[in-house]
Amino acid sequence: MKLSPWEYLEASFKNRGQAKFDDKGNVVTLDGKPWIGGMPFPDAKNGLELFAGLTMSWGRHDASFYAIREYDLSREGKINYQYENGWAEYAPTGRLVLPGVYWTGHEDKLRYQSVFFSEPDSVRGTSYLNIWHYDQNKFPELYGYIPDFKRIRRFPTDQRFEPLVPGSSLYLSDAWAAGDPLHTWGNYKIVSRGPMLAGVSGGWNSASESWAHTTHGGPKGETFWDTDVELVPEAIAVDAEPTGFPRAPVGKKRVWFDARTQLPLGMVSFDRRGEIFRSFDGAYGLYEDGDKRVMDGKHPYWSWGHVHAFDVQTGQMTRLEQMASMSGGHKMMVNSQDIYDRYLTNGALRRLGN
Amino acid sequence: MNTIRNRIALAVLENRKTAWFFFIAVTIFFAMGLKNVELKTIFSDLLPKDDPFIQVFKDHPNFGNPLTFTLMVKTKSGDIYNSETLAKVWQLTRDIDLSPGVDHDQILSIASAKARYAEATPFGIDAQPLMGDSVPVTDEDIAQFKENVRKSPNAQQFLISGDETATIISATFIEQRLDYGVAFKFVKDLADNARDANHEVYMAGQPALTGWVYEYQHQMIGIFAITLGALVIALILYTQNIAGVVTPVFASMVAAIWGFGFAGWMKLPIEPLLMIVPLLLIARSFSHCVQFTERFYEVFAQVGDKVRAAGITTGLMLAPSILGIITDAAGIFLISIAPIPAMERFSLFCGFWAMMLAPTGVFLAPLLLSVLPAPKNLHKIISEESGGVHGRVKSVLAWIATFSQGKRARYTAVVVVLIAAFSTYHAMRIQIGNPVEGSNLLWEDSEYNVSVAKINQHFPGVNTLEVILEAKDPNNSNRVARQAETVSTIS
Repeated sequence: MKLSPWEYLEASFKNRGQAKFDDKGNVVTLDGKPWIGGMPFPDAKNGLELFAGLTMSWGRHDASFYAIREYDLSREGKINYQYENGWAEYAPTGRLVLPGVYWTGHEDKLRYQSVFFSEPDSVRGTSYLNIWHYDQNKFPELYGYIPDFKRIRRFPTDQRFEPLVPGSSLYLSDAWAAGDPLHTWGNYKIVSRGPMLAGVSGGWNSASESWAHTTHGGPKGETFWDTDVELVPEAIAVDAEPTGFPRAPVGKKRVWFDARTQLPLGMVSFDRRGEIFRSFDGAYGLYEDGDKRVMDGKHPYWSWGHVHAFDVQTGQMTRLEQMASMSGGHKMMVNSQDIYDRYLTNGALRRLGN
Repeated sequence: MNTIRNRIALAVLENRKTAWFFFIAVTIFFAMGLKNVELKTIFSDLLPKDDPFIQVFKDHPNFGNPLTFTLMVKTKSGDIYNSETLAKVWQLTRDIDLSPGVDHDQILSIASAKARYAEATPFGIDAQPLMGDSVPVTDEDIAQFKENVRKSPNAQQFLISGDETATIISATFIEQRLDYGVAFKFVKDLADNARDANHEVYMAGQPALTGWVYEYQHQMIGIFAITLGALVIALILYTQNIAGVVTPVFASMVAAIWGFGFAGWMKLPIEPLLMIVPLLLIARSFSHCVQFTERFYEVFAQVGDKVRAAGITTGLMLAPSILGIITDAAGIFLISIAPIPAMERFSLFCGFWAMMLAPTGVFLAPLLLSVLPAPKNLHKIISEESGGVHGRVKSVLAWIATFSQGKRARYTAVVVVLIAAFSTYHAMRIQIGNPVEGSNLLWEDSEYNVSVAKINQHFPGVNTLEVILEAKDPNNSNRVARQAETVSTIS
């Protein structure tokens, strides 16, 4: 069980065969209730089923708080911007560890997710909150908090192809290679299958107290994370088009899934001319290395370690890494009810911004 | 007569096969580099590397990036608040996103998601795009859109003209992906196709200007061809023999192959606006060869043997020719002192070419003269008493020479001093920079300059001043940009 959280894989086997799409195209159980956790289609037959599993559970935990350090590099390899931010995810449905499969009163939601910045000072307290409907035809509600205005700000729901902060090459739409509701994209199509090199199990740097990773390459040797890759026997490449975004700059994206776990190994998006636009890839791993381990309940913590988000056209790179903690005293958390209260309400946004 | 120059000259002429082999081999080598020659404008290479403007452009390409096409859609009657005009702006905004090399994150118009209005709600501030996910069609939709614009002061100032008859679409391009010729053609086609009975579309911005320069390249090449043709015709009219025409043309062609081949091998992109200098180098090469050939005629008339005459002429012309060529080349190389990458490359390319006039003008020319047929009009060219063109040229030169001797020289000196004073006075008053609306590279009534003028009439200007505050210490909560007096000063 090195390739995903224990509970998630266990549920995927246990709940096998119990998922279907309802009339609106949402994943439900055979008796029409919201999904109950794990991969809904472990033997996915098409691109839509693969994307459905990924969209419904990003980090594969009921709740996660990631302490993140972000580096935004220019084409010349210079670090132009450096941020520290916290990223929180909380599942009100399909829960495997938190009490109750469904969070009472929130069954119509798929996910609460927020990101807030703690450094540098210029963006300290800036935050965004996404509230995802269970109905995957609807855009999430998107709120932001800018400390200078001291007001919660509601943003256009389809503003998902813009960087959240200056210098960043990461769109909200890029998150986990499935950052938008399932049916705001369409024409899902499996285009190829084959072996692939990817970082699926060595993403944690146990040698560093802070979990910081080392870099290589690019003009100044700082453009890419040092990454352990291994041969994934079968990767499934799926294409999708942003059919629900009349102003999208993206024409198509291609995501490679690990056929064993349906984890996204990498994503490449293309602009509307068909030219390569952006590249997104991550390295995952079990947070266990010899005597060193980070626990998630009874089992070692599994998560992502680092991410590249590269704008192929401008040459700008955004590197993200998961840290043990970040400024402001925020530490990595997993499967804790506190995550919602601390990071996922409009009140929390105001509190974090002051 | 046994000086070093004579020994060099004799060595070349006595080993003519080796010399020919050398010239052929070197020419083939440089000719192979011609395929890499690229006429290309690189914007950030046109300004000094240490210029703050360029540093800001490099560090913050998302602020005030000059590589921006600006399209202004202007209605010929009525305002822009009608479904036809708004649909046109929407379509142009989507279509310009298809331009090769465009930065998809930096397209702005009233139809882009980035143009927003904000309004206070009980829950905070609601920020939404001026235009929704489709073009307003009904009167009600259009009224709502107009209301949204009213809540967006920035859109009113920078995206819609004061009289509401024009609106701007801007698209910034990525420098390393920008091919001015391709992008210009694409955006110009969009503008051309968007014009109709009720709409005019104007195109401006730095890439548009460079695009027009590219557009006019064929005219520039035509002018070069006419100039070179005129030079050759002048040669034919003056020398009236094969050697006198072929020697300068052939030697200059070889020097040009070496010069361009060098730029190709070194992968030095050549700035189209500086192509005038290579033309001057060809003229300089002609000039050196003509001088050399004239002297050859004089020697040949005396010794009667082409090879011997070529050797003697080389010995005589070696020092003054090389001195003159080195002086020219040194001047060109000195340009590289300016820390401007385009000028550094240009200096290397043209300086090398200028230096190569030495082997081609001093050694290749005599080799050619030694094999080309002896001129039949030799007497007419060199004789003091000959008539025709040569006689008249000599008479004019002799008359001009009288102004520098005897009593006339004093008057000449006075006139020269007066002209110098007049020239110096006016030189001091030359306006440096671009004193016209648009660019003085083009005529005042050119499409580009008219577009700039029209946009300036409706908006704050194609080129706006932008002040960028960069925190030296982003973690200092008391940094200048956050101080009240700074905000007050800027606003």
